[in-house]
Parts: sequence; structure tokens; C-alpha cells
Amino acid sequence: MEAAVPITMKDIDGGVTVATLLGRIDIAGAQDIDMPMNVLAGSKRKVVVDLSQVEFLASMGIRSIVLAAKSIVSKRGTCSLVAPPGNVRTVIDSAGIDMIIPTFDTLDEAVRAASPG
Amino acid sequence: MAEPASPVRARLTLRSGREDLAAIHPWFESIGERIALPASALFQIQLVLEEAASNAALHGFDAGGVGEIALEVTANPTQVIAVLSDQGRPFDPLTEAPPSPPPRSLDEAAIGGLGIKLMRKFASALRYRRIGPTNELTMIFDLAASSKVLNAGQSLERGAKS
Repeated sequence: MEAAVPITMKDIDGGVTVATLLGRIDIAGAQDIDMPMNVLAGSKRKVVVDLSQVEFLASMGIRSIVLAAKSIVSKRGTCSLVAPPGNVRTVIDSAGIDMIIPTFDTLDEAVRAASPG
Repeated sequence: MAEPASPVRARLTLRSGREDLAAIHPWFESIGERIALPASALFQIQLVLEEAASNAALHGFDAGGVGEIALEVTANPTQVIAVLSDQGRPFDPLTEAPPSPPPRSLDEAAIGGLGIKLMRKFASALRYRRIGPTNELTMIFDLAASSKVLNAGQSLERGAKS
């Protein structure tokens, strides 16, 4: 079963917030994550977006992630992506997003990069 | 003696709202099952169909207005042809968003045009024509070509579960 809201958020050590996206981030899913991502971008400085549980990602979902990342980075924060499954990774690479938002294989790597030392 | 399977033909009519667009996914999934479509091709074709339908819904009709979008698919194990048609405003996605280089920084990353970029990437061919009051977008997926994309995608997959 997919979660009703396809995003969960958790603050972890080092001031890092992990936003985990879930299931299908299609047109409907993107609208559901827009507001939470916007709130996240307005309130957090070190954000890791965990994509490991995403089954489908369309351009609307990428747009929501890129808008949040732009906002966070413009306030001298950091935003990265973690562990997109194969098909989702192909979409991210095809859109050129891996070149502009750091993309890590594991949560540990992303957290270390966001909060060095 | 194995007989060549006859192509699967199916038609879906949608209203241009987000609930209806979500119907594309289960509809095409059942077509994919009937032609034993590999998971990655299923993913990529669904992506293109959803991007095409959401473009048509966003650009073809007045804000808040709802129009009808039809999707017709002919599928066999080597090729999938999908035709999207609607009676919205003339909208040619191929000229609206010409191919562009990838963004070099987050600052210059454009927020629009991403859907069409993905459509160009994953469809083998895209053709648009306006016939009278109808927008018609034909999307062709050569499944041999799509499995190449699959392999490229999988070689990038590191540590991802699947």
C-alpha cells in the first residue's frame, strides 16, 4: 500500500533533515509533495531527499525537488538526493538533475557530505 | 508452433483532471502485462504517456476547464505505438520546447520543458499534427531501442534495490 501522503520527514543528528519520498511521484504525487517540500525548503538548511522508496518519478515531481533545492541553496544551505532506484535514476540523469543536485548512493554518504565532521 | 501474437489494441478516454490522468498508469500496466513488457520499458512508456497527457491537460484547456483526452495504444512485443488526441487549443509540444542542453547549475536550471525533454529521451519517435480541431501526438516506442536505455540505466544503478 502506498502512503496517503507520499513524503515523510525526519530530523537527524548534525542538523540534517531527511525527506523520504514514497511510491509514485506522478502528477498527483507531485502535487501532494509540493507543499511539504516548500515548507521544508523554507525552514531547513541541510536537506537530504531519500528516493530509495520511489517507484515512479515524473517531471512534475522533479520540478518540485528542483524548486526546493534552488530555494535551500540560495540561502546557503545544502540539498542532495539519495539512492534513486534504477529507473528513477535514469529519469534523473536524463533530466540532467544529477549534474546540479549532488546524488549519493547511500544515506550515510549524503549525511556525511551535508554535515562534515 | 508458436503463433505470432496479434497486437493488443486499447483505447482510454480521460478528462483532463489529475484524478483521470492517474488512470493511465493501471490501464497501461495491464497492456504491458499482455505483451510481457519488461519493467523498465513499462516505466519509461508510462512516463512518456503521463507527460504527454499532462502537457495536453495543462496547455490545451483554460485553467479550471476540463476537456477530453483520448489515448489509443497498439502494442506488440517489438513496438508500442500510442496516439494522444484532444480538442484543446493547438499545442505542439515539440516546437514549444525545442531540445536544449542540460543545465550547468541549479541557478540556471529551467523549471519548464522537463517533461518534453523526458519524452524525447524515452520515445523512439514523436510526431505532432493538427487535424481540424484535433491535436494528435503519436509516440512510437521501439522496444529493442528501449532495452538499450534500460541497460544504460542499470549500469548506473549502484546499491539501489530493485
